[in-house]
Amino acid sequence: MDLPNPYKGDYKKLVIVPISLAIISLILILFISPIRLGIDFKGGIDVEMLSSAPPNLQMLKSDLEKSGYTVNEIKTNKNPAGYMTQAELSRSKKMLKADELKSAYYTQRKEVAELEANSVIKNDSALRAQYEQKRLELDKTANSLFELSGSNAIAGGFSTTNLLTKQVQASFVKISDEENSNLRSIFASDVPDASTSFKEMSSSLSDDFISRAFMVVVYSIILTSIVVFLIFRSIVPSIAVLSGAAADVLFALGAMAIFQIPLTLASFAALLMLVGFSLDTDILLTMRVVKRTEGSAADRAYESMKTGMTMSMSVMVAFASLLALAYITQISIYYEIAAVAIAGLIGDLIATWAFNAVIILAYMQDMEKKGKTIMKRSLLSYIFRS
Amino acid sequence: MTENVVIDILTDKRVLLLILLTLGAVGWIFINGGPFNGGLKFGIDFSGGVRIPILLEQAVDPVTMQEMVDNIKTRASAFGLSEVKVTPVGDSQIFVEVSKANPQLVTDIERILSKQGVYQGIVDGKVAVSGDSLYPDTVRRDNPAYYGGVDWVVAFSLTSDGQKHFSEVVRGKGNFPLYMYLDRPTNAIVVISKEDLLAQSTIGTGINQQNITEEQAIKLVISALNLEGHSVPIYLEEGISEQIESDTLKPFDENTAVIISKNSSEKIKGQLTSLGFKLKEKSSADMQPVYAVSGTNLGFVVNRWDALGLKSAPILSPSIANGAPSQSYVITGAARGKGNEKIADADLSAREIMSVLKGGALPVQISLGSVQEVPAKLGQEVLNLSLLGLVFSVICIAVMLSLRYREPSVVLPIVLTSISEIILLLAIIGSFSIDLAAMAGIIATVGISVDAQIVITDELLKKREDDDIQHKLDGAFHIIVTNATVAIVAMLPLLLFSGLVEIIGFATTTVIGYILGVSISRPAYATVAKKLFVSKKAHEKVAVVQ
Repeated sequence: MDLPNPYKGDYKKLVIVPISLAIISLILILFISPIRLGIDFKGGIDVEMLSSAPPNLQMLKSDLEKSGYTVNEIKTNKNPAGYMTQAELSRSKKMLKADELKSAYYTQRKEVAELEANSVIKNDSALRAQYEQKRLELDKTANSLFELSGSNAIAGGFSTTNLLTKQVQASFVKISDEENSNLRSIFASDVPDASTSFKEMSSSLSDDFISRAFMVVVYSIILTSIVVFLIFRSIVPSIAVLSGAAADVLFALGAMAIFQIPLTLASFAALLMLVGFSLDTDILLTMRVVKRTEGSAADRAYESMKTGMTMSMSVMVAFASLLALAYITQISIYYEIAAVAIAGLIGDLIATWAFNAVIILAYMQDMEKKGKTIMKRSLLSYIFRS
Repeated sequence: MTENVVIDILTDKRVLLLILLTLGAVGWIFINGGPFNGGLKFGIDFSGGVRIPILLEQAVDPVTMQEMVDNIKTRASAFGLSEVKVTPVGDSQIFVEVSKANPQLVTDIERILSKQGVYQGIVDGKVAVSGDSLYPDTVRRDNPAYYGGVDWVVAFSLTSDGQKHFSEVVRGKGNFPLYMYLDRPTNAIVVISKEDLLAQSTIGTGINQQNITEEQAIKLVISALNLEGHSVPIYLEEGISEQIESDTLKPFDENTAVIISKNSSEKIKGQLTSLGFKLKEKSSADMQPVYAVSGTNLGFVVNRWDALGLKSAPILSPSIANGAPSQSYVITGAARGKGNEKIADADLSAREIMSVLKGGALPVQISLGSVQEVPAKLGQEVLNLSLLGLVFSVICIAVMLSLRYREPSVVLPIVLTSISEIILLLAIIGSFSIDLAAMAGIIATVGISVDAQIVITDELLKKREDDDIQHKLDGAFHIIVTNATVAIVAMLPLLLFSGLVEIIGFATTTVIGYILGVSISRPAYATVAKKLFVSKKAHEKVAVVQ
C-alpha cells in the first residue's frame, strides 16, 4: 500500500473533502431524507415473519391498512431458514387512544385514591366531599375507556376507586387483547404456516427511551470532552480531536439517511462507539505529529496515516463480517450496528486524514513560527508507562 | 526464530498470565458443562424464549425493587409459570424471561402483570374479607408500641358492605385463623407426598420443640383448604394410584388443575393428565405447608403454603369475633431475631402482609415493554451463525494482516492474542448472559484488539532516531491507553446510567474488551513483539558480520 504523501505541498486544500461531506450530510439529514426513527424511539410494532414461501406483501399491506394500522415499511428477504418478512407498523389508532386514556386515568387515580383512603381513615367529611368531586373527573376518563372497549359499564356505579380501577384494567386488557389477536389473525390468514414474532413499543416507553438516550449523549459529550482536554491540555488539538469525532458521527448519520438505516437502540449504541473508534486514529496522529520530532511533520503524518489505515481496515473487516452475518441471519441489531460502524469508519478515514491531519499540521507550523513549546505532557503519561 | 526465543517468550510473566488466564477460562467453561450446556449462559436470543421488559413508572430503591421482583415471581408461579426468570435491571426496569416461546405464555404473563391479584381472607370455610371489600390505599403500617407485645402492625379499612360481611362471618370465631390467600386456586386438587406434607412438621427448637403427626397435618391442611363451594381436595401421592385405578378421581371440568410437586413421578403426572387434569407443577419447597403454633384450642395451624397462595394465617382475636362491625382492623405479628435483624424481619413480614392485602399490587405502577419471542430452533441457528461470523472475522483480519505485513512471526502473535482475548471475553460475559448485543460487541472487540496491536507493531517496526525499544513501546502504550480511556468514557453513561438494557450488552462487552486489552493482552503482545523484534535484529547483525 504505497500512497503518495498527501501532506507534502498544498495539503490545506484537503479539508474541502470533509467539509463538503459534512455539509452534504447535514443537508441530507435536515432537508432531503431525514433519519428514520425505529420503533424504539417512536413507538410502534415491529413484525418479523419467517415463511417457507414468499408472502403477498401487497395483500398484507392493504389488509393491515384496512384494520387501522399504518404500514411504514414492509420487505421480504431470503435467509437460510426461508423468507424473512420484516414490517414496521404504527400502533392502531384505537390502541393509541386506549393508551392515552389509561395513562390519564392512572395519573388522576393516584390523587383520588389517596383522598378516598384519607377520608376513610380520618373519617373526615370535608375530605370525602373533595374526593367525590375529584372522583367525577376520574369517572369521565374511565367512561371514555369503557366506551372505547365497547363495555356498558358506568364509572359512577363503582362504589370504590379500587373497583373502578379493576374495571378500567379489564377494559384496557380487552382492547389490547382484541387488537393483538386482530393483528395476529391478519398475518395468520394472509400468510399461513409462518412463524411470526411481534415487538411492540408503547409511546410512553419510546418517550422514555428518547429521554434516556438523550441523557446518555449529553453525559458522553461532557465526559469525553473533559477527558480529551485533560489528556491533550491544549485547545487546538483537543478541538481537532473532538470535531473529528463529531464529524464521524455526522457522516454516519448522513449514511443512515441515504441507506435508510433507522435510528434504533442498536444504531444508537454504534454511534456512541464511533466516538471511541474515531479517537484512536486521531490520537495516534496527534501524538506522533505533535509530540515527536523525528523527520518532518508531514512525514510523521504520512507514517501515521499508514498505521491508521491498517488500524481502521482491521476494525472495518470485523464489522464487515458482522454485516455479512446480518445479511445471512437478517438480524436487525447486527445490521444496524455493523452498517453504522462501517459508515462511521469510512467517514473517520476522511475526517482524520483530510481534516484533523491538516489542522494539526497547520497548528504545528504556526507554533513553530512563533517558537513556542508545542504541547504539555498529557496527564495520562504520568500515570501509565508500559 | 530459535527455540530459545519461544521459550523466552512463553516464560515471560505477562505472556504466562495471558496463557494461564485463557486456559483457566477454557477450563472453567468446560467444568461448567461445556460452552453450550451451561458453561456459557446465553440470552433468549440464542437459547430461544420470550422476554418481556417491564418499565417502572419511577426509579425505586433496592428494597422496593426486590419487593417488585419477588411479587412478580410469586404471582407468576401462582399461575403455574414456574420457569419464569425475573431480573431487576437498574433501578427502573425488570426483565421477565421465559425460556419457551409460546404466545399463550406471553398473554398469561401480560395478564398477570396488568391485573391485580385476588386477595381472600378465609375464616372457617367462608370468605370473611376480600380485595373488593377493602380500600387498598388504606392498607398501612401502624406503630406496634400502641398494641403491646407485638413487633409489627398493619392496619386496613373496610368498605361499609365489607364491614357488615366481615362481622357476620367472624362472629363467634375467636381464635380461629384468618387464612390469607393471594390468588387461591378455585378449581383444583392438590396431590402431595408425605415427605412434603411433613417436611416442616417440627416446630420450635429445644424444649419448645413440637412435632406434628401425619394425622394432625392432614387435618390442618384440609382445614386450610376448606372453602364453601370451592374447597380444594387434597390427596396423598402415595395413595393416588389406587384412587386413579378405582375411578374415583375425576376433574370437576375441563379446566381443573392438579397442583403437584415437580419431583413427583412422571407416571402419576401422566395418569393425571390423561384423566383430564391440567398440571400445575410447583417446587418441592413451595409444596411444603409451613406450620405454626396457634396458641389456641386448635393447637397448630398452617401458616404458609406457597403452592396454594396461602401467605399467612393470623389468629382472630376474640374481641373482633364478638364485637360490632368496625371500619379499621389491624393484623399484628412477632418478628424473629434480635436488634436490627428483628427490625428487618418485622419490616419484611409487614410488607408482605400489606402486599397481600393490596391484592399483590405492585408498589410502583408498571408498563410493559416490547415483547420479544425467539423460537428455540431459530435461536440455536443464530448462535451457530454468530459463532461462525466470529471465526470468519478473525480469519479475514488474519488475511488482511498477512497482506500488510507479509511476515508470519508478526501476524501469528497478533491473531493468537486476539483469540485469547475473545475466549476471556466469552468466559466473562458468558457467566452473565450473552445476548445479540453482546455478541456484536465481541465481534467488534476483535477489531479493537487487532487495532491496538497494529499500533504496537508499527511503533516497533518504525525507524526512529533513538532506536530504544522501550521508548517505542512507551509511545505505543500512550496511544493505546489514551484511546481506551476515551472510548470507555464515551460508553460509560450508556453502561451505567441509561437502563437501556437491550444494548447494555454491547456497551459492557466493548468496555470489558478495552479493559482486558489494556491490562492483560496488550502487555503480553508487546512482550512477544519486543522479543521477536530483538531476536530478528540480532539475526540481522549476525548476518552482517558473516
